[in-house]
Amino acid sequence: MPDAVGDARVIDPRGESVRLASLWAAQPCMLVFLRHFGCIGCSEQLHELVPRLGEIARAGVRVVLIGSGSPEQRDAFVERHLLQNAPATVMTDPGLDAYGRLHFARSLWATFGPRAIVDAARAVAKGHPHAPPQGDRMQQGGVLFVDTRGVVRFFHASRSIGDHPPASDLVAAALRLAIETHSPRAYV
Amino acid sequence: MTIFIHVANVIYLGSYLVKDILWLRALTILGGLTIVAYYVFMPSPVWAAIAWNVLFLAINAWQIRVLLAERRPVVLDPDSLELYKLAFRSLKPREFVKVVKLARWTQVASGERIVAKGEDLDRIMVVVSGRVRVEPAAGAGIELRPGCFVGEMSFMTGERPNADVVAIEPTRLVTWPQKDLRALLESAVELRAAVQGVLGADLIAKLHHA
Repeated sequence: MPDAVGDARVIDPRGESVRLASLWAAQPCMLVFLRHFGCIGCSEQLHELVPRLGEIARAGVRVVLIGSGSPEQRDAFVERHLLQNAPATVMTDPGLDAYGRLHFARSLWATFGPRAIVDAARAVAKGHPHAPPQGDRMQQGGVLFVDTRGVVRFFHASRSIGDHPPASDLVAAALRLAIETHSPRAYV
Repeated sequence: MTIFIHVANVIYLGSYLVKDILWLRALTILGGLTIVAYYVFMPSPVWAAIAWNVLFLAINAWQIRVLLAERRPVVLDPDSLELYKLAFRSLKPREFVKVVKLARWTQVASGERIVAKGEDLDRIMVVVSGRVRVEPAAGAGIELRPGCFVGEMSFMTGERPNADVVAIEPTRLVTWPQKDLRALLESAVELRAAVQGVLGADLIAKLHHA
């Protein structure tokens, strides 16, 4: 992981600015960069991911969700998705500092292009509500796993609003990381 | 003759009002049969319309057959039931049936090596009865009892095992070819999540124990 990325700062739930690199200092970390906190694609993503967060946490991986809205919008998002007691921390990056350093897509095409329209229709069909933007509307998200040495073990940059990796891929990445972190004497 | 048209459309109306897909299809078949009767008994039968409606009837009949098969309660044979109780309780029985279809039951003798260190492992196993021991290059062995998986780390990472696994008493195993199980899981999102939950729980317990 380039130092420039680790030096990016995000706002934690207490409202304090923290270095991104501090998130994986103690244990491997899965960083899920959402879009804005009202994003319909992110709602679909969380619907699939939240029930699997326990599996990822049990694998010893810290889960951090990062959006791009204000801290107040973050709080409303946490309540709306019942994340208060979930094994995940929700942070925000309203200045898009980390998004930019990770080179996540930010474009009109990714937000309103044909693929985005299909993604939005799919999410609506699944019952996810459309909400006004709560953060940067053009910014796309992504997911990365970083181990305690700062090595990126999984990386996905979303190309449109509903382009997120399946939750099972993330659980698989967490389990692989658990095996490598524990380096068991017997590996069968 | 127009009475057939009215009856068919009343039945179609009923089909649009039900929420259960099985009833919707059943009513659609009934409506379709009525409309076919109308076309057949016309002074000059409309064969094109009859042919299309017969096709729709056949498709709906096939889908009803599939739905009924899916709704039928699952009955497991004694071996499968034992395996289900040992290792797959968190799966829905119908999901488990898909997994067990790929399984093979094997018996190994005491002292028989079932996994060789450093060699490709192309299967994943569950101990059903008996005991096996994982023998790492250094340090004490780890005993695996019924319900434990063997080969799940290789399955998840694609790496070769770094330890032998030997049966320490006559042991019954259930094995799956990794390739077949992977293909099944890739084709079914919910099943993949469920099996991943089972394997993950077994793996984490072993890592914490190690």
